[in-house]
Parts: sequence; C-alpha cells; structure tokens
Amino acid sequence: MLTNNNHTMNKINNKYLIILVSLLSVTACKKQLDTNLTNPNGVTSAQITGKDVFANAIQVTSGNITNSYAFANEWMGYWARTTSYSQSGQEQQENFALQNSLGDGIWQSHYHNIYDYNFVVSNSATGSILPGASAVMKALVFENLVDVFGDIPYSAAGNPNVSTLPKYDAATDVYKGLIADINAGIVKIKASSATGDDASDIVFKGDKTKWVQFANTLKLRILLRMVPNGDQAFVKAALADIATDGTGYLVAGEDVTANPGYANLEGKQNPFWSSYGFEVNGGAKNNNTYYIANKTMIDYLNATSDPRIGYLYDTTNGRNSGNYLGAVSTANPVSSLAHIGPGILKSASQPAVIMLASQSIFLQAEAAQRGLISGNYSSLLQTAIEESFRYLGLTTAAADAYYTTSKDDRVNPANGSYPLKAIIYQKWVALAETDALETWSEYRRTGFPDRTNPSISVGVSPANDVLPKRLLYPQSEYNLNSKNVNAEGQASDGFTVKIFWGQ
Amino acid sequence: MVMVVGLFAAAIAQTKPISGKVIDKEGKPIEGASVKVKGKQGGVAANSDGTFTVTVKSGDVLIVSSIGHATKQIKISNQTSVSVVLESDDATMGEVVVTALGIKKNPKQLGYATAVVTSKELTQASVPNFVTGLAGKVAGVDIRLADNGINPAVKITFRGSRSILGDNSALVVVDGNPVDQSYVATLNPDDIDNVTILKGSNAAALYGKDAANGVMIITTKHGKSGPWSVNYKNSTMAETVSYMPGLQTEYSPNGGEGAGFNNPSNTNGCLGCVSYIDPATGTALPVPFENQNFGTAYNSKDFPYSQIAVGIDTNGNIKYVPFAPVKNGRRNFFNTGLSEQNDLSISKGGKLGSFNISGSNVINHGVIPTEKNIRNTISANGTLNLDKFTASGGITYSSQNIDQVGLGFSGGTQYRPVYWDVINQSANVNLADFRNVDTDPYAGLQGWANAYYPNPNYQVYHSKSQQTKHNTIANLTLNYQLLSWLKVTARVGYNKSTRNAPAYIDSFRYAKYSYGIFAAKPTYDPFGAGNIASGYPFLPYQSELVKTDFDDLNTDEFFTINKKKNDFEYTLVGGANLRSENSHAYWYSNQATSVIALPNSSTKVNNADGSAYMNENYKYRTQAVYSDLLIGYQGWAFLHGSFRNDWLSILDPKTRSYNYYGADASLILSDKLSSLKDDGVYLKVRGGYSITGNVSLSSNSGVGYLGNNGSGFSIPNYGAYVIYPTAIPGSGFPYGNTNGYSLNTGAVQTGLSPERDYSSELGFELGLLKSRILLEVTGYNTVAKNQTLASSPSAASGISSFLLNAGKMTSRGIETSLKLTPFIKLGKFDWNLTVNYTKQDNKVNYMVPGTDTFPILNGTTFEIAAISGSAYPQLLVKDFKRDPQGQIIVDGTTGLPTPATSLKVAGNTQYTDLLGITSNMTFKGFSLSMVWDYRSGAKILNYVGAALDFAGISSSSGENREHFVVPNSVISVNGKYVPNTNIATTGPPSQWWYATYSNVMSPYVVNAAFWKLRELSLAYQIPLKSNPYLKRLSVALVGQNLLMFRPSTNQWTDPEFSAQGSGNAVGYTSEFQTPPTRRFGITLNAGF
Repeated sequence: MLTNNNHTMNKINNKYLIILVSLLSVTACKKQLDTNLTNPNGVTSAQITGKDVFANAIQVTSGNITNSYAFANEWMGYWARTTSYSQSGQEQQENFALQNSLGDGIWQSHYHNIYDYNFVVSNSATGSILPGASAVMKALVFENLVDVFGDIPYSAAGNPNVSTLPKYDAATDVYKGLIADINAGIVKIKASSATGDDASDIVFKGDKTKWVQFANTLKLRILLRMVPNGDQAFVKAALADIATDGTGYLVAGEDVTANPGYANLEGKQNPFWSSYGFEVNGGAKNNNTYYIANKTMIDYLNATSDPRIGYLYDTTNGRNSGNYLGAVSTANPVSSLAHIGPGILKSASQPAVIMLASQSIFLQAEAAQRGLISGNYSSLLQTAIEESFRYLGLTTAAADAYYTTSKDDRVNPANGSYPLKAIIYQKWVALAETDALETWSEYRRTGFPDRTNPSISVGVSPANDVLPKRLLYPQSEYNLNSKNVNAEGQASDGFTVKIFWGQ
Repeated sequence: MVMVVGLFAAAIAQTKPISGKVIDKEGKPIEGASVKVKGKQGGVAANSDGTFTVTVKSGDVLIVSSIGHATKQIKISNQTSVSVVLESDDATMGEVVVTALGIKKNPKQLGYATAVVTSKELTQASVPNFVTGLAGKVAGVDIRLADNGINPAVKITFRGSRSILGDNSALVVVDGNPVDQSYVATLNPDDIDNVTILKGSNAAALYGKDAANGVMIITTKHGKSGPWSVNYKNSTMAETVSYMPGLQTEYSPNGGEGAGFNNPSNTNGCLGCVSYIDPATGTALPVPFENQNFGTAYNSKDFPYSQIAVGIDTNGNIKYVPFAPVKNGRRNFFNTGLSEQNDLSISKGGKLGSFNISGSNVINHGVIPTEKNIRNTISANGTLNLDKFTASGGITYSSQNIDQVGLGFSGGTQYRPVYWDVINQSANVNLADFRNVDTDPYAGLQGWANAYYPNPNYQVYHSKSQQTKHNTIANLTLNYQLLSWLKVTARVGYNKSTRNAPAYIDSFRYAKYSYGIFAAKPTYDPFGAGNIASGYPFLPYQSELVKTDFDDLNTDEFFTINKKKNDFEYTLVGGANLRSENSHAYWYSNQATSVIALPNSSTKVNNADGSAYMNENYKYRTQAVYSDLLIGYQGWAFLHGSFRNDWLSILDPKTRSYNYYGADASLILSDKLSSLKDDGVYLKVRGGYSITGNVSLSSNSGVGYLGNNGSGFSIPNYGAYVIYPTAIPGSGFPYGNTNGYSLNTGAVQTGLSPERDYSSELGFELGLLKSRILLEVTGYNTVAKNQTLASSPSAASGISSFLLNAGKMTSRGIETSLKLTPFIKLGKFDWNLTVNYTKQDNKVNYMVPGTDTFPILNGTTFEIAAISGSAYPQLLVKDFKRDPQGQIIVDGTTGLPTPATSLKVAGNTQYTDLLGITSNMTFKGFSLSMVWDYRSGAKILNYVGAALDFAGISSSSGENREHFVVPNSVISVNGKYVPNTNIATTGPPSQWWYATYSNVMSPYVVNAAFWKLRELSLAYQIPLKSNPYLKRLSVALVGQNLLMFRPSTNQWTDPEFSAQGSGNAVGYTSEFQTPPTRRFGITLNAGF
C-alpha cells in the first residue's frame, strides 16, 4: 500500500528541480535594499558630515552680514541710489513704508543657516572643533534675528523634527539663552583637539583660543545690549565668567573673517564683491552702479576731516558727493557721485567679514567706560579707530593723528561730556558698509548717530522720517505659522514696538 | 480496516474499457485533452482526432481537461462511449477567476468583488488601447481618458481615490508580472485573452506595495488545444472632431484699437487695413492683425469694404478674403483621422502544450495634420505540459513611433500648443486654405496677418515632438507537481522599456519687411501692429532630446498545497518575491541656458555653448514573503486569509519593513439550502477586511520642455532617494578640498512610514431563474491614514517643505451590477443587457496639523486641493466679490465687478455616480452591441473658456458687447449692499470680456456630467458552407464615442478630459486637450 506513495517520490525529475531551485536562488539580501542610501544623482545628507557643511554655513553667515542688509546700509546713511529706476520694494524701504516682504529673505536665509549649523553640531567627528564653533555661529545668527525682528522662534526653531510651526520666544529669553549656548560652545571648543575637520574651519583653522576670544566678544556684544534694560545680575555674572575664563576678547589685528579661497574667477569671487563689486572682466555689477554714497555719511566725513572718506567711498575722478536716501541723481550729476570705496571693495579674493577687530575693541571700550570691565576706554577707543583705519587700508599713524587732533565730540570723547557718543559714532564709521545691521542696532539702542546733526535720512517726507525700530515678520509666517505669529499681537507695527534693548 | 474493505471493493468491481471523443463547442477535436479517472494516478491524452480510450468501472468519474477550456467531469454508468464537449474559458469565465499571483480560483471561493472582461467584450469596437474598451463595462472602475489625441494618457482607478498625493491608479499585472501603467498603450488588444479586475485591496493584498488601489490582471492568449488556427483581422477607422467649443462668427478682429492708434497717413502704417475707425459712427473697424475679435459685425454696414486682409508677401501684395465668417473656418484645421490595424495570429495546441504567435500593425493618423502613431507588436506565448512539470511563458515586443506637433511660439518665447493657435484666429479665416506653409507666402510665419498667434498649419510642419518607444516583456512560469498535494511554482518576468524623444522648433529669420514696430527703426511691419517678428526677428533653432529607459525584473517562487480532509479542503500558498526596478533619464537641450526653462536637477551640466544635459538614475528594490490560506467547508463556505511582508528599499531601514493583511469569507447559501438551489436560485454572501499600504513618496517626475504637452515625459523615480534629500553645493564650492554643502530646504520626517489603508467590503450575488438574472451588489469602505504629504512648514523650522505622515481620507461606495442573460429572448432573437451602477463618495477627514486646505495643484486663479471635511479633490476658483447673499458686487461708478481676493470652493471633481449599460442583441448571424456610459456628480473647470472670452472668440462673448447693467448685481451704499438697477458697465465695451469676465474662473466651472455612446458595433457572422480553409468570417461596422450629451452650460469640451493626464488633480481641461473626436469604421475578421 505504502509503496505507491514512495513510487511518486522516486519519479521526481531532478532536471526540473534544478531549474526551479536556480530561479529561487536569486538572493534576497540587505545590500539590495540599501541601494537607496546612495543617490547617484547628488550628494545626500546621509553621505556628508559636519565638515562638508561648515564652510558654506560660514560663507552664508558672512554673506548675510554683508549682503542682506542693503536696506540698513541706506537707513544708516551709508548708501543711496543713483537712478530713478528702483529695484523691487526699494521705494517702500527708502520711505520706511514697511512691508512684510522686506524680512522674508532674511528670515528664510538665517533660519536655514541655523539648520545647517545644527547639522554640523550633530554630525561631526569626535574631537572636532566644528560643533563648538557652530554653536557660537548659531548664537550670532539668532542674535541677528532678534535684532531685526524682536521676539522670534528660538527654542523650537531650526529643527523640523521638533516643530514645523515653532512657537515664538521672548527676545529677552533668547538673549539669555544665547549666552548659555555660547558657554556650551566654549566648553566644546576647549574640549576639542586638532582633527581633519580643522581644514573646513575657514575662519580660524582650528585655533581654539581665537574661537573662544570671538565667543567672548559675541557674549560681550549681547551683554552690553542688555544694559540697561535687561537682567543686570545676569549681565554681571556673565561678565564675571568671561573674566574668570581669562581667554579674553578679540584684540587688535584679529578680524573675524572667512576665506575658503576666493579668487577672481567666475563663481569664486568673494560674495560681497560678487554682489556689489565687479565682474571677472572688471565690469561693474548692477548693484555697484546702483548704490552710491549717501550724502549723510559724505557730509559727516567731510565735517570731521575723516581721511577714511576715500576708502569708504570711491572718490576718484572728482566724485565727492552723495545722494540723500530716496533721492535720485537729478540734483547731482552721476559723475560726481561716489561709489562703494576701495577700503570696502578690496579685491575679488578678499576675506568675507564676520566681525572686525575694531568692533570687539569698541565693545570693550564701551564696557570699560561703563565700568563693566577693567581698562581705559579712551585708549581702547583709540585702538579701535586704529583697527578701523588698518582694515580700510590706512596707517595707524593716520588714525592717531585723526583721533588726537580732532576737536569733535563725535571723534574724541575728550571734546565732550558723553564718551559713549564718540564710541558709537566711531563704530558707526568703522562698521560702515560691512555690518549695517550692527550699527542700526546700536543706533536703536543708543540713539547715535543722533538724528539732528546730521539726520541720517533726508529726502523722506519729514513726517515719516523716523527709522523703523524693527522689521515686520515675514508674510510667510502669517501664511504658514499664523497661530504663533499672531500670538505676538502688535507685531505688525515696526515703529512703536521696539526690541527690548531699544530706545 | 477501512483500507482493507476498500481494497476488497476494488477487487470485485467490474472494469471495462470506454472510448470517447473530446471536442470543442464548434465540434472541433481537442488534441491532447487530458482524461483522468477521478482518484487515480495517471491518465491518457486525447489523440489528434480527439479520441481516447480509458479503462473504468461503473461509478467512476472522468475528469477531462484542456488548456484554455473549462474542466468537465463525467460520471460513468453503463455506457461504452462518451462524447465530451469542452467549453472554452472565454465562454465560462464565470467559472474561473485569476487572482493574485495568477492563482486560479473558483469564483465561489472569493470573498471579494471581481469582474472578468473577455477579449470579445474588450475589442468589440476595435479600440486601439484596450483600456478604453473597459470604460462603462465594470462597476467601480473609472477609466478617464486625458484627451482624444493619438497618444492619450489614461487614468485607471478602481473605487475612487484613497491617497491625497500618492498614486491612486490600479496596479496592472500582465501574465503574473506587474508593469508600469504606460505599458497598456503598447499592448495589442487582440493579444489579450481576458482582463480580471480585482477591485479592492482585499483582493490584492498579496501583491504588496501597489495593491491598495486594486489590480487589473491581464492574461494574454497562450493558444488552446486543437488544430491549427489562423486568425486575421483588419480594422479601418475614420476619426473626426465631434464637438468644437462654441465660437462666435458674428464679429470681426479688433483688440480695442481706435482712432489714432494707426494713422493712415503714416507711410509705414497699416497696409491692408484702410482705417481703424469708421468716421461716421466711431466704431472700431476690423484689424487684420488681431487675435481678439471685438471688431465690427461682419454684416455691418459700417465697414464699407467687402474684403479683409489676411496676409502679405515680400512684394507687398496683400491677400484678401471676403469680409464674412467662414463656416467651420477653424474646425477645418482638423483632418479626418484614419487608422488601420492589421492583426495576424496563429495558434495550435496539443497534449504537450500550446502556443499563440501574433503580429499586429496599427497606423493611426490623428485629426491634427501630420500626427501619427504607429505601433507594431510581435508576441509569442505558449505552454508546455510534461506530466508533473508544466511551463508557460512568452515574449512580446512592441514598438511605437509617435509623431506629434510640438509647442508653438509667439515672440519666440511663448510656448503654446497647436490648439491654442487654432482657436485664436478670426472667423473670416479658413485654416484649410493655408496648409502650404512653405510655398504659400501668406501661410508662412511672416506673411500671416495675425500678429499674436501663427498659422497653426505652420506649427504642424515646423515644431515636432517625436517619440520612439520599444517595449519588451518576457515571462516564464514553471510549475512542478512535487506531490499530489504539493506544487512548486517559479515565475520570472522582465520588462524593458526605452524611449527616445527628440523635439524641435525650426529656426526662422524674418525678412525685414515683417519686422514689428517694436524693432529698431526703420519699421517695416506692414500691418502696423508688429508681426510675431516684433522684437523677435530671429527665432532660434531649439532642440531637445529626452531619453528614458526603465527595466523591471520580478521573480516569484511559491508553493501550493492542496489538501482535503473530511468536509474541509485547504489551499495554502507560501512564497517570496523579489523585484528590482531601474530607471534612467537623459535630457539634452541646445538652448538650455537661454530659452528653455531649466530642469531642477542636481545632475544638470551647463555647457559653454548654452546647451545643457543631465542624467538621472533611480533604483528600487523590493523583497517580500507572503502566504495565503483558503479553507473550504463542504463546498459552500470559504474562509480566506493572506499575509505579506514587504521590505522596500526606498524607505528608511527602520521603517522599510511592513505588513499587509487580508481576510475574507464567502458563503454560497444556495448550495447549503438546497431548497433555494432547486428553485434555480444562486445566493452568495461575501465580505472581507484588509490592511494594506501605499508608499507615496513621490510621483513620477517630468523631463523635457518642448514636448507637445508642455510638461515633458514622465520618468518613474519610484520615490527613490526621496527620504535622503540631496545637499546643495554652496556658491563657489568646493574650494580645493573644502566642501561646502547646504542642506536641502526640503526635509523628511524621521521614520517616515507608508500610508495605511484599512479596507472593508461586503457584498452578495443573487442569481434567479438559473442565473438568467444576476444581481451583484458590493459596498466598500476604505480609510487611508498616515498619508505622505509635503507640508509647508514655517521657514523658522529651517526648511520650506517637509514630507511627513499626516492626513486621513475615507472612501466608500456601492457597486451594483445587474446582468440579464437574456433580457429578452424571442426565437432566434437574443437580447442581453448588463447595467453597472457605482455610487462613490469620499471625504478628507483631516490634513496636516495647522491647515485645512492642502493644494495638490497650485495656481493663482484656481487650485485643486484636498480640504478637510470635504470630498476629494476639490476645485477652488477665483470668483467675483459677492455680498453675503451671493450677489456680485459692482463698483458704484464703473459698474464693473472685481475679483475676490481668495479662491472659492467650486465643488468636487471626481465623479460620484457612474452608470454603464452594455447591450447585446443577436439575431441569426447579426449582433448589435452598444455601451452607454453616464457619469455625474463632479465639476470641471474649462480653462480654455477664459482664453476664448478674453479674445472675444467664444459664442458667449458674442453677447454683452455694449454697456449693460450686470444682472443681479449690488452696489455698496453707505456700507450696505443695495440692488444695482441702473449702473451700467463702463470703459471700452470689450473690456468686459478681456479685463473683467475672463479674469475670474467661476464662469468656466460647469457640471461635468455626460452621457456617451462609447461603443456601437453591428457585426455579421457570414455563414460558410464547410469551407476547408476559411472557417470563420465576420464583418462589423463599429464606432466609438459617437454621441455625447452634456449639460447645455458646458460649451467647451469633453468633461472627461483631464489636463493633468493620469495625475490626481483631475477637474480641469486646457488648450492642451484638442476637441473630442468620434471614430467609426469597419472590421473584418477571418479565421482559418
């Protein structure tokens, strides 16, 4: 009985089984499924680490500082424009008719920059200096955002996995948070060792001391803004930390700049040069023709016999005048209008500016003058002016002569009774055209340069001749993050709502 | 003990030889038919004349089977010979259903809704693409043709939509292997044996990743047992434009030009037009160069001339035509299309197996001059039957040469399809008179009077979009019956598809005489307005090349266990699947950096000469294991469950493994309750539940910019690499060895997982009068959760697009099918009738947190979107500002309305009611078949309506050419809206049309309902007196889309059309869909 069944088994034809088994043997393996990890059409975020992102993040930050604030360069009396033709939104910004669109690009670019830094923080080699450095840079970007908008998304920002519609944090809380963030960054920087990542550090090439000095300087800038409207105990404690640390601030000669290898080649020019300078073949870029000296600054420099005039502005060929903001060239022939100068536009390969040494020393001068740190504010101010002269291409001797012989209280505090005036005025000149956001902030904080002598913007109808205290939140926030941005209440106003440190 | 008794019984039984013959329905012997005695090993095969001899005993049951035929069982009592008639599978499709993995099942066993459409039903109207032959024939199936062009996209959906952004199109499986939907257009409909529709995910869970949308299983012909059979078919069809939009023929061209625009005393000005202003009345007179038609009436006495200029040659000779409308002047642009199809197939079957070889050629000339689509198909399929080992397989190669008219040009940069240039001509032009574009100076680019849009005939010859496609599909299935209850199966399928698609627009240098007024002085423009040449005296040669190819290797290995125990029978299937898909796209343009929009690709390379190219590659790998168990009880109760585990390469390693589950049950109550059966009643109740998935990471991306549809060719990217967005090199980077990437502004939620579809269905089948009346009703409900959506986050999150799991959509519906076979029977007159009705409904339950409206197609004047709480998808359009009562608010001074700031919801765009009626009457050798198709419950936006009104071409724009009080309008008085009784419109009268009415889209939204006579066929089977060679001959008159009935408000086009092709954003048509057509012709079918 049973043999019948066995008989069936014996008849299995091996030949067919082999065919079947060979088809079955197509291997299933993990390697096949992992094809998705390598994209042949581009480099994915999975294939790169912090060192591949950091250098560009730095370039974007410096590009934002020098390139994104053309409006502030106008408002602060550095630039005006040549022609009756206006670029998109230009007339509104010149008339202080704030539109939500003005802040859109800044908002997007800064937050995406933060997003990039976050990637460096969490995707770098062990021992790398980049996470610490990124923490410092991120604090700088957040500080800029506060200085432009006031309350901003901070604790939930820059990380879509945390929130795609981040809530807003009070500006004062952001500032305090930034001090903590920088402190954490300093810890990381100090704990880092030389790694291959140092090559991507296009700022300090892995120099830990300089990164800490820069971090301390940034802290000083933030802390000074918290005087007098912030938490003074917090300020004092933080300054005490810096003193204890002992690494100090950026000193003379220590400009914070970045240069990955700019050259006068297509696509390789310094970003500021590329936007506001000249083509590879020497032709002027549109913006170079479009933006010219503002009469406010020209008049001030002439009034104070400031030798930097020929460096801040291209005054060759007898071009010695500027336009007021909003005015066009009818009053002055275009040939007489000065353009962006050779101390600002040095070459296509010039390093990109993040923070000039002069700014650090101006900050120290103010802190010394306020008694927050030790030091002689007058000699610090003199050093800061020397640094400004040096950056623009003048000699220390010229700076000293200018400082010591001036009878103007906007130059040397010895001529007046309010030393802060000279410090902020000189910072206004020193940071001209390289960091207009910072001087707009300092104007909003200190009131200098004061508006009566001279007014920084003439040409706007007097009733409206009031500089905005902040930019409006971008339209995209009202469209996409409406609940959170509307919770800010009076946010639509750029003239009555000030940043907490503002006047 | 039982065995001993059994042996004893066998020993005493009388055995005897019995002879027989196996024939088919037509009386032909079936060679090789297998004859077995039930319960015994072995068996015999029928000889070439169908005869056999086998030893049996009384009470034995003979099982007679043959490939392509239904198996028959015959109980032997005392006869000595039997005659067995096997019906072909075609005729008995109700008895075998091909289910997932090609497993054949008795329909009684199925707990879910299926439908089978036979070859005959598919091809009765000689459709070029068999999918169009499905329309209206199956409940729950929505076949939507994007247009009536020679190569239309088709959207095939079963049971509506589930996924908001993902693919809702049904999976297509050919002989066991999944293929891209685009493949269906390359199939020869006559190669198809049958199409099985598994409507729901319940039926399809075993297919894994693509199963949520149902499956269309195509089985091709593999030959049948029997003698040599040769079949020849010829089909010759004509095609004509059936419905043009309503066009006014009352008014002449004028775009609002008045006095002073062109001073007749200007020596450079206005040849061919005497003056623009009638000195007596001040009326604007005809302007030959205008595409807008706001001029004086053709029958007006104001215009003292009987002629109007339409062109000029280099010598300044002007061509005039009568100042009168030409009947069908624009419609005459279209040709009568002609298509000819020839098919030849040879098949043979015997005891070793069978084969079918076929070849076909289709040449289809469309209604647009010069357009043609040539398709050649060669197919060889067969089966091999070696006792325990069986194999079936085949290979099909097809090529397609599709030659279409490319985009047009106006001013060198404005790309328009040819239809746009047809409708933007005035009524006094007969486009048929201007075909000789290279020899007739008035028909060419520079002699044509219309300054804005060229003679469409010129575009026909000088802008081309071509494609050559090669498609090869091969498959092989091997079965080995290892044990009587255990079978192992291996299947491999391979599909390769390549496309070479060049497109070009010829260059043209205008002669100086045709330069426009915007060109540098001196100006020559003879018509005073600027010809197309205005500002663009040189049209560069623009060429583009798109190459795409993809291949798909799919292997399945599974075992099948069949066991019976007592009242139970079990079928258990278990196996594994591997699938490997690759896609490659290449794009080149000679004008990439100047003229043609740039593709957003990280692989794009710009060349120094202004050309650019890119190369993209995508890979998709799938691995799966699956199992399927069917338990039957006493032949009337069935319980079925399936399970599958997929591993998909395109997902994150942490989430790429996920499961599908399905369970269903079927009860044949009429088999259990014999009283029902005795009364001729068949009653089946069934139900099922499944959990499936849908990976909607990305739809296909487009490549190409000059192609005829303006949106390029679709390349499958499978969603590969989407979860790892590419980093973008920062400006200038790399510097030396220093990289500088910025992360993509798009990001993906960590652990993104597939959409989950929870689907249930319940139905019954009721047959009365021995299935003369068959009613089938199925209700279904699908909840699709965890959809993959690209949300727009706040930029403060660091990114601008975030792919995340969110959203939920519920779809439900009822499918009803009533078959009356026959409906009426009177002597030799038979009338069979099938009515299908589907009611479907869906609702978006919620969207991405923080938003209610999620656009799937963005626009400034209209959007197609998913809206929480509403059916999907919804059409939103720009409307006029209205008061709370819905009345149009007009300005108290100008009398004109203004567009509202935000878009208004206009309704859903997916049909909710689908009705199909198939009727088949036969009388002697004649048969008359028709398919009627009705759909309703949707809105459609006719985008072209706005263009026609803007230009004053539409019939509606023949009205309201004088100032009038906007009906039912209100004006604001002291903050209150009061009826406007006297404030008439102001401004130039034509302004109403070009600046007011056509600025909003709401007037162009209409009810998309239609009735169509999809198919009509009158066939005659010519009686043949036992001709030894010619065995069958039939001739048929056939027609498609002969009639269409629409609501009178729809004066534009066929509301079935979709400008989005097979995309989800159905609900609007545009100038890219040429007018609908009807096809009719004759088919000859001969069998040898």
